[in-house]
Amino acid sequence: MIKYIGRRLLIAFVTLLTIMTLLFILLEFMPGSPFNDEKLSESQRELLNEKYGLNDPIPVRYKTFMVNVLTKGDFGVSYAIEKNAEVSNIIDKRLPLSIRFGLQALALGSVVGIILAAIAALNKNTIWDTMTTGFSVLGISIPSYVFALGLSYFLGYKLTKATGHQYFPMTFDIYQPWKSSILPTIALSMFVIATVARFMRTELVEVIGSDFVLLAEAKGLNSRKIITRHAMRNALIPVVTVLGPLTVSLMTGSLVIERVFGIPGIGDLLVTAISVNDFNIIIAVSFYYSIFYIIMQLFIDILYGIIDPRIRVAKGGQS
Amino acid sequence: MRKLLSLLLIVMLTVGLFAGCAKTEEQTPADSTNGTEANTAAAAEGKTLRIAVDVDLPSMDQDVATDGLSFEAIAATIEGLYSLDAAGNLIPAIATDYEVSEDGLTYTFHLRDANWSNGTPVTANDFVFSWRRLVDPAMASEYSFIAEVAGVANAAAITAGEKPTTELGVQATDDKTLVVTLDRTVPYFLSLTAFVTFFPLNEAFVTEKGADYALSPEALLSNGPFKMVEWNKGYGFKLEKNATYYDADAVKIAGLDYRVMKDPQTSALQFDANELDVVKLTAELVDNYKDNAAFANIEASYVWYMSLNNDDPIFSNVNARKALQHAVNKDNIVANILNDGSTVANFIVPTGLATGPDGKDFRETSKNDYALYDVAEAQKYWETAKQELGITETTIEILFDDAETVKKMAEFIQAELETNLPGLTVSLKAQPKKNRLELMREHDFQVGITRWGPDYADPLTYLELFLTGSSSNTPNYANATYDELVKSSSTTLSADAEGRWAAMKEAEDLLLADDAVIAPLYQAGYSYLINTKVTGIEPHAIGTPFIYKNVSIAE
Repeated sequence: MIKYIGRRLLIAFVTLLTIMTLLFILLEFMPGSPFNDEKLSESQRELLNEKYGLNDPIPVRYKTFMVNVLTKGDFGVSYAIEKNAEVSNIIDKRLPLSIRFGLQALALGSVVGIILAAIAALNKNTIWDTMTTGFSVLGISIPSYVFALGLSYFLGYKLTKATGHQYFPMTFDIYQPWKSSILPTIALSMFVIATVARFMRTELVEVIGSDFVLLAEAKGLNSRKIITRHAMRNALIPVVTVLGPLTVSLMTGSLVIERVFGIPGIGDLLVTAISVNDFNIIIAVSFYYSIFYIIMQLFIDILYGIIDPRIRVAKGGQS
Repeated sequence: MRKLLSLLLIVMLTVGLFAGCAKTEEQTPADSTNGTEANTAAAAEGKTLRIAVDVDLPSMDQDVATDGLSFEAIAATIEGLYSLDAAGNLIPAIATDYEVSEDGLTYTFHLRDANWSNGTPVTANDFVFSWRRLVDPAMASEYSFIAEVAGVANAAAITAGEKPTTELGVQATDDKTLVVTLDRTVPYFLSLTAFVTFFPLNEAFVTEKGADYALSPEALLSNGPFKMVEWNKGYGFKLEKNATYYDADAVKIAGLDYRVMKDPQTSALQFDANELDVVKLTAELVDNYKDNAAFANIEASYVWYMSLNNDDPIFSNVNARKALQHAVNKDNIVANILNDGSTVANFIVPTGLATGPDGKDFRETSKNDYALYDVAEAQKYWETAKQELGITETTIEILFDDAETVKKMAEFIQAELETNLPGLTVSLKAQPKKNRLELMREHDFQVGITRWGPDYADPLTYLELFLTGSSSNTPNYANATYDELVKSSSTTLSADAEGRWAAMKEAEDLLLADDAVIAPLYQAGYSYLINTKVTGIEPHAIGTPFIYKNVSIAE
């Protein structure tokens, strides 16, 4: 197992280096430059390029870039969004927020999703099943902008107006970080709930119909035990597979949710950085995306083993 | 059994949901009481003006900032020699008065007793240090050109690295006397002293902070009405009334609370919920709020126009350019696409930019009918152009920013041109703004939708764009007569107020009527919601977008 993880880590590191090199090269080929305001004269732009070292030959810049990132975690300074501020500082402030909202949404989403799936599967082809399935279809098909704005409008604005008491702040508020994170978390978890419920239901229905569950029932096990011990565990495998990438996209921030609720996360940061050619921020955010993704893949592989010992044995044998 | 189980699960689900809430609820009482307490405390000393902005604050360093929001925040915390009143007239700020030499080249400013927020006095040396920093090549300030525009002696040579910064035409003869030497008379020099890049900086403080200067509230000093107390990057920032400000009695509010809200719909909703006082509206929201008492249109001086590449095979033909000038219904653009208080521009020097020697606005005494919408006229020019070019049909490409409103405008222009000019097919090319600028700078386009905002209160800020070889001359216009007219108004005619005014009018006429270099579209306006209890917000078309010093909020 340790050998397996070690090998995976090594591969992860090489992947990361490759990603960074690719990013660096891609940005070299991007048209335009961060210093491209209509007010700047040619000589001004020259001065700025000089100041930020953009005039150095590409190999020199590549070396500086890699060394700074790998040894100091230094991605340089922002060119446009927060001029001259250290990119690592900007990310340090925003990343924890995105991760927090992501994890909250993931927790809420998977718990509710699994419960809904259980209700649906146990009551296959009844009104309960139709309702939960309908709910997940809605969750997937309502654009998140509409849903987020709807939450903000009805629970944040209308409810406060009607009752005179603010149960849910309309937007994220750093002075009441928990209370004001309820609406964004629900908005963000909607997609998770829907996805998990859909996958889990299908799997559960299949597992419940299988022979070993029938046997367990015949043996006289109570149905709670059958569901939690046997059915759930088997049905979780595909769910975990979907949850991996979903977690990454949750933790790296949702542009729409961040904009609607005014959350300073990294999803919005990346999009803004791309539109203003803030190269260093683009690279830094992509770097964190990649790290998340790699870690998540590793984590899921290990999780498979815990949920289903058969996978562990097979993989262990391979490596 | 199954029913029981599902019931159980539902209970679990509900409990689970509320358990999550309960956890948060534990936190909230403390949080919300803190919040209310803070609010009540603030209310005791006056109210806070809550402003929504749609971008992060890019910089608090006046030599780094290039955008309106930064200028606004810096101007709320630092005052320069002069400031502007609500009507845009110069009023004394750190300077109490000034003398100007007979030849108009030497200005002597007398400074009042004022302090920085750390207790040190504001001295003439603070201006000298700041102005030298502005032109220092090592600083590479994007706005260093403004020192040259202001005519401060040796500015250009210093930025180019040919002379040391100490050669700059600014000197402190004593702590309270500042002497500025110009290398030519500049009629609008005084108005520039109200612009943020000419504000003072405390040398000891800025030097001590080094690279960290202006990156956090602790690394900032204030000598103006407000000081920065909180800066949550990406979330917002707070400016609080500065007790050490020399005119602190005039400041009636407790401070300014800026919140970054990127979604206009949410910020409008927050305005309705009385969580914000100042909110900018986008076109699609204007109709909902048009009749609201809080609705206000604010005129800006940005002029949007179609730049017609004079080197292009088609648009090297003056009649083809004229056809484009007349073929687009601009009323439709401002009324239906923008819908935000923008007005049709049949000119390049905007309304409300500059006042002439006669005390009247430049536009008031100039022609206002360049590039009027007239399909018959447009078709006449187009037929001539086609004959001269020897073509019957052709395809052109319009280059524009990939922003929503600009895109709609480009699509509308495409439809107008294809309908009104027979034989013309128009394709569209959307690019991120920085790339669009790059392409236009390299003259790699046919028609480009672009805009220009003024840097100082003089028509030259627009007319200089089209000087031969100027880096902002995207159409690549080259006309010696035009160059002569524009240059003379800042050189030989600079002391002759009437003469230069006439020269500039002639230049505009040449640019738009005879040579039809560009096709003006509209002068930008913005729609805002401003809490009806708030008075005293002073919008300005140039430099600092809003001055909040005199704001008061009724109970």
